[in-house]
Amino acid sequence: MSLRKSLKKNLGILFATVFVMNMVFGCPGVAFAAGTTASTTVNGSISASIISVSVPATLAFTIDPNKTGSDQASKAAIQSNTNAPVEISISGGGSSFKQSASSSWKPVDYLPEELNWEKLGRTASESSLALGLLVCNSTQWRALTLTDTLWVKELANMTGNAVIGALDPNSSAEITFQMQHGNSFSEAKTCSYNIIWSFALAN
Amino acid sequence: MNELQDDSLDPRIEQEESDLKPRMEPKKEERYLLGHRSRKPFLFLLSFLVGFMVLATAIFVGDRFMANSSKDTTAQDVAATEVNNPEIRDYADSESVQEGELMTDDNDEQERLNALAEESRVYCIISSAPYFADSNSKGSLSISNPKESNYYSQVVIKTDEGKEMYVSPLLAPDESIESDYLTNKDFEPGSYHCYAYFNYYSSEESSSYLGSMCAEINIMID
Repeated sequence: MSLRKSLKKNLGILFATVFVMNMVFGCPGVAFAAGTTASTTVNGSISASIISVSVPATLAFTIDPNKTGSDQASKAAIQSNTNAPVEISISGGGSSFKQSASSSWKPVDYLPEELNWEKLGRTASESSLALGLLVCNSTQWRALTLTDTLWVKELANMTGNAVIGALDPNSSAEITFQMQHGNSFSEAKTCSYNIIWSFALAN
Repeated sequence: MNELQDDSLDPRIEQEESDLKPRMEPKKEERYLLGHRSRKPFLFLLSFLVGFMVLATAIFVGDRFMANSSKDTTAQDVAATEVNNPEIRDYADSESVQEGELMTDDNDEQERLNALAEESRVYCIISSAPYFADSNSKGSLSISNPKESNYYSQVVIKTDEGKEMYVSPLLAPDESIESDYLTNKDFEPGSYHCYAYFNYYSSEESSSYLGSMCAEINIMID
């Protein structure tokens, strides 16, 4: 009997609580029949990302025909200070990676497999070069597209951009050069090439 | 005595001189011969000059020929002298002699090449999506040539089709452009995929051009 009373009492309290809760939170239209509705507009604006990248204007290499495997080239960092991933590329078609007009030595660009470099005589050595761009360390890249050396002559025959890869935000990656050449030079030679890098926000 | 001392007073002498004067005037034929004779020095001089030039040419050509032909002879002579005189010469200072084979320090060369690249660092800083309320309003370009740069830079923005949209002033290091007007206002509202070319110069002269790089951006004109 007392159990039934207690159950009734508890159910009564439960119903009362639910009723009060409904009155306060559940149905304001009913609770405050004379109130007004209100809405808030949230305006968000996002600035465009600023592309910020730096590269060396001059990259140099030296060839010592007297020592096999002693060719050396600048290891240059492409530094991105962008707060977003940036894609690095070079335009194809031969206008973005080519000999400088002011270069004192103007060898003909070849692909490495086109000549038997070790057997070249003086005239051929002094007029032939295969120069290519190479990524130093693939782990420095967010996504690497250029896995082999990109040769000057190869790029000249390309249409569209040659994508090197994408850099993570605020990171850098090193690139260098690879050369193939003859070994017969009657005098020291100096040549220079121009590269026009292209940067864009990466997908 | 006086007559002997002063001949000018002798009338006979005066008469003789007057007789001689007409005979000193050349006759017509003689005048012709005299004119012919006056050309002789000229012809002589001309002949001399021609002869001199021929002689000088002959000497020059001969000298060149002899110089070329004597090269081998000289080299042969030197070689013969060396072979016939194989004595060890004294050398006062031998500090330049080092132990071992010829060596060059590859590490030094690598550092030099890397430093050369690092010193020439150039910067490309621009908004990826400049916005213009209309083609006559300023847009937010956010172009910068930071103080770390060693070069001047100028930014030229072109559309995909190569139509020039904007050319910045030449920026010295530590100069920037937050916003600016389009230099070519002949553009309808819309979104334009553009290339922003950063051209670098070592001085304020066009001839000091070093190179370029570019950023792909989208320009929005409302």
